Amino acid sequence: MLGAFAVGKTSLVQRYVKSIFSEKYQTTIGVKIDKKTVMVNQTEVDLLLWDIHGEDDFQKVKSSYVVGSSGYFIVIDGTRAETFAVGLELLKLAQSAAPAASCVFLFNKADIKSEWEITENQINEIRTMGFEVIETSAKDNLSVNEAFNHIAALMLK
Amino acid sequence: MSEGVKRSVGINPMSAGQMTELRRAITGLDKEEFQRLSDLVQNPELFSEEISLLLPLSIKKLFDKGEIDIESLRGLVEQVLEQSVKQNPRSLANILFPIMMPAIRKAVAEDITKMVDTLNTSLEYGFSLKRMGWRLQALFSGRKYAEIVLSHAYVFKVNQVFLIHKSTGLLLHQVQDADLQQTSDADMVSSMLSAIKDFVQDSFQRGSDEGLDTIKVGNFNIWMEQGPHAIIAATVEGNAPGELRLIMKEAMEAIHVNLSYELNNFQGDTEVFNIKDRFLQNCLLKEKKEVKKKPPYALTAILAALLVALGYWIYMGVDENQRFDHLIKTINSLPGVLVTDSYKQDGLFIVEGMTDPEVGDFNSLVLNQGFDSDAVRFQMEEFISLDKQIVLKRANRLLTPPDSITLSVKGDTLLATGNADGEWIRFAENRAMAITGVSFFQMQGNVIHSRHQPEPMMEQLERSVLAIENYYFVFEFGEVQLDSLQKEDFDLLITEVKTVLNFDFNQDSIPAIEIISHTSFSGNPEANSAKAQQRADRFIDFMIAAGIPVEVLIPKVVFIEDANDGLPVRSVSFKVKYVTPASL
Repeated sequence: MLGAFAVGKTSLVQRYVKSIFSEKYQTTIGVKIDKKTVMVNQTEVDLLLWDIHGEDDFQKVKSSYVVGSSGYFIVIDGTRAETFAVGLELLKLAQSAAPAASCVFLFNKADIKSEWEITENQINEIRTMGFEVIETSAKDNLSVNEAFNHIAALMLK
Repeated sequence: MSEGVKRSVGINPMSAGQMTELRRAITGLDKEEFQRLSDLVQNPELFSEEISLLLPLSIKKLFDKGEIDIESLRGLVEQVLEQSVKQNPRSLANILFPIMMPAIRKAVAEDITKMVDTLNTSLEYGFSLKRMGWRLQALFSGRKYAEIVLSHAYVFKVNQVFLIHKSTGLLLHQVQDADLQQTSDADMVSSMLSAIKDFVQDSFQRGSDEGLDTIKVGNFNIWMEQGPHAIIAATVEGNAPGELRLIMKEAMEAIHVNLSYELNNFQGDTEVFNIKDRFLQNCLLKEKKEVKKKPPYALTAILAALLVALGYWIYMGVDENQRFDHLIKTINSLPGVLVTDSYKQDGLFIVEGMTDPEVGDFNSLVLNQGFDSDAVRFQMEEFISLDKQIVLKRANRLLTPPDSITLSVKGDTLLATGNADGEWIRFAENRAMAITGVSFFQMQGNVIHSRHQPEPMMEQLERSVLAIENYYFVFEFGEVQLDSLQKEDFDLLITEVKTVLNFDFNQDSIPAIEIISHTSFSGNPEANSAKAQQRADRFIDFMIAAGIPVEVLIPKVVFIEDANDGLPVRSVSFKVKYVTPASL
């Protein structure tokens, strides 16, 4: 899970693994690891989810966290335009550290889409780069399972 | 050459342009290229520079083709190195310095860590006999002392060992102690360890050769051994010895040697690592802490005290029984006593049997054997013994012979040997036949006629008083009845009393008889005293009935503990007192 701080990486993981959501924001320090076993195309897959701390000016994501990963989400907060640029920076870092890994962009907080600062053009820009884009909401459990199941399927290819 | 061409062909000399054309046709090189090659050949400096660019590639190709192998080069390299060291060792040292120093530093650091670990764990055992024993065991078995200590002493347990793929952080395999009940998800633990390792490495800007070795949380440690492609992490409880690190290193090396291809080309298939898990199993060391059984001082002391108490109790019991047996034998050997049974009941020694009143009580014997007077209860029936000693005792009490007379018993005859006045002899002759066990009286000796003078009145009186005071009667508990034998003594008593009372003193005082009833402080003294008073009153009734005036009879109660006259409890004795008539 890569993305700027407070985009909802931990909430997405919690929603996916434990089916819970909390409004309370708790910043992640370092990495939090969870595991979920899913069936993808009749194959049992153990997903080890590295919920990496959000990147900001004071806390840069280290490439070593990404090395060896099979896939990653770049999570962007639809309501905060600045998270888009951070996402693109992290994409560069991840592509460098894990060139063979699958990548899916998640535009989170789809439950308050009326407040989004991210434009459709920006989303299309990502699509143009050849990445899958999924609009999610951890709060309303919108497309969360689909996102994880999708990346799991991509990683198996 | 150009000259030769000219002669042999015989054609016109070629122009420069033609020559160039011809050269290109033959060599395929233009003038500049040809010139450059010519310069290279002629100038060794340039030539060597050109060759140096090709040489590494050529050598590599030679290696690839197998035309040069390492073995053929080794001798050469060794010779070069040897020569270099001989000529200038400093030069090679400087070259190797950047490589050697970190290696040496790491090796020294590891050895120091190992030594400290070993020291820490060894200190726990101190210089004990057990430790000495281990040293001897190591000496004789040829094994290293550390191995012996490892197998005996260290207090630690490796709970789980993880093999983690270094680049992905994925779990390749894990083994755990059979006793381990609850474990965390090994995949997650593996990932977390990788994350921590990465975090430390990134945060502190350490090189890959200076990875995380140990994570310590209280008494729980995670030991990590990093290889080029994998990490072994062992969760250790307690104070593990430094040798564990060595074992983990060996396991790491073995895994890399045996599974090199699988590690390099890991695509998520962990099956092969499951098969070869013996390397990890070797790391699953544990040493149960030997419970130091402290000598149970308190228990030992209590047991010892109990044993001593038990021993003392047994000894006391045996000793008491022996003393009681001895008491019974002594009593039974007394004349006039027959013990029919003796036993212990409710903590009291009971003696049953029969005794002649002349025998008296057994208090002194009981005390002599170390018993309290209350500890032995006598339940003795009275009987008249015909034992010669008892008969003699009875005769002495009833006849009160003068000092000049010695009484003895022979068969059923009472012998009086010595000198006595006629009055006593007559008295004795009259009384002797009434004494139980005496059928005949015989006087052996001289009769003091006292020049036919009558015995002085005062002496006669004194003998009667003495006779009265020698009488005593013992009664059963709660009873004041005279049996037939006591009746005989009672009649004699009354005779003596009347003699004393009839004596004319012509003085201001007259004789009175104290009826002394004996009781004891044992039990309820007040109740005992009341009973004794009743006994005295009852006896006075007997005496009144026998004709003794009531006014001269004075009842009195005494406790045997105070009286100290040797008379038993529930006995009645007598004392003659002289009182003024007015006091009666």
